Amino acid sequence: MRKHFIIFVVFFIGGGGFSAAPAWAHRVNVFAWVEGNTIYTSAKFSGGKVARASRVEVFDSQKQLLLKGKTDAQGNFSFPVPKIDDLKIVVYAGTGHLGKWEVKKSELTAIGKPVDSATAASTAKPKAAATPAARSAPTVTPGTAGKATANLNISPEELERIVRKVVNKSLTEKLHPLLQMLAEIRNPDPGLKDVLGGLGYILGLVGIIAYIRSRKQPSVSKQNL
Amino acid sequence: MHIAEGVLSGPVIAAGFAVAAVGTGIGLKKLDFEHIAETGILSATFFVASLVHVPVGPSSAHLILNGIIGLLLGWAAFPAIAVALLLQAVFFQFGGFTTLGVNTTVMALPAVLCFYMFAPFLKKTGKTAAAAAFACGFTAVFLSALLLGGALYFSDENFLEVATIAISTHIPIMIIEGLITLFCIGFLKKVRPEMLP
Repeated sequence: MRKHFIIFVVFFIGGGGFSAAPAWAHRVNVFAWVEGNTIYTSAKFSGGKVARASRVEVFDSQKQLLLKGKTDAQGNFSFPVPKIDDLKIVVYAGTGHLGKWEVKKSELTAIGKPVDSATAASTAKPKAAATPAARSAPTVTPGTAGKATANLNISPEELERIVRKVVNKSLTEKLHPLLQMLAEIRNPDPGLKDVLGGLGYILGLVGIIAYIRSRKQPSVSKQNL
Repeated sequence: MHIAEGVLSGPVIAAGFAVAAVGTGIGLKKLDFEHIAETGILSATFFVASLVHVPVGPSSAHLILNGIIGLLLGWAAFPAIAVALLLQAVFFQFGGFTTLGVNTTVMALPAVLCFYMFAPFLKKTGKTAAAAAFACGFTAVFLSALLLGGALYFSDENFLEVATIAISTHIPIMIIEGLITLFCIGFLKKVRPEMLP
């Protein structure tokens, strides 16, 4: 009898664990990343199912509602940077599901500055953007840049601005999947460690309660021995 | 079925904690020495079951198993589910800490109700007991979806809309849980009848 029961329990818990392995459920993960002047958001239920037609609200650091929208069939939503501030993106996916993501002010000032504005050209350009720029576009090297100006009659400043714009654009395209991946890594789905950790806590609690109760009922604990 | 942080209004959160606290108190008081291990096992089962994911329509639903937990534990379903939900909030970020009371109530209250509704039928033979077991698994999820709609209604959402979505996305779950409960009760009846109420 006892043996059967143990097999049953192992099947019950173990079976749950195994069938759970390929897909996790029940949380809305919101990812957001900044590209140029646009903030992209993507909302998924953990398990990979996208949260489509969900209400998206964007708040600033004073909790003022800046804009509202709905995710499309792929769970995506994008909007122009409404304000340089710490932004909070909230996605309501219905029946009590809610996901949040914060876009820091620093992210907006670093990447989100308008490409063709004067400020972008002069200061606050991250190093990461400058180095690959030199590599991927050989014409930017000082010598050739000077030559190009001579031939086309474009001032070096103007050329730098154009090159910067083109490089930024291609960089944005290349970085898009990478940024999305980083955003997803920041919000991991529950894994085996979490499951085992939780089961361990339950086992420990059972032990504690059993210990307390066994001191109250000495006769029962002796019987069980 | 887990309500996330920041969705519910203050009074709903307070009411949820009140009901959950009373239920957990009664559950712990009624929990005798022999049933501690059983409660732990079912709490662990609930903890893991939420990861079993069934894709339905635009949303996603998972197993709850509150029917069988209620049937086997009675009032002890409250502490079992409360502990599992707390750990899910910590480890999986399902639900949340402020919504713990409401979530516990939404899932544990139907478990206890189903215990009173269906446990008497389990002693009957054959088809009656089997039907009761299936109905128990089915009804517990249905009532949970209804309570979920209620909790969200009092937090400024349209009850009919939310309840309809919650119930319709959980129809496959209701059927699956009905079958799981049916199978488990049938198995326990043969192998370990003393575990049944």
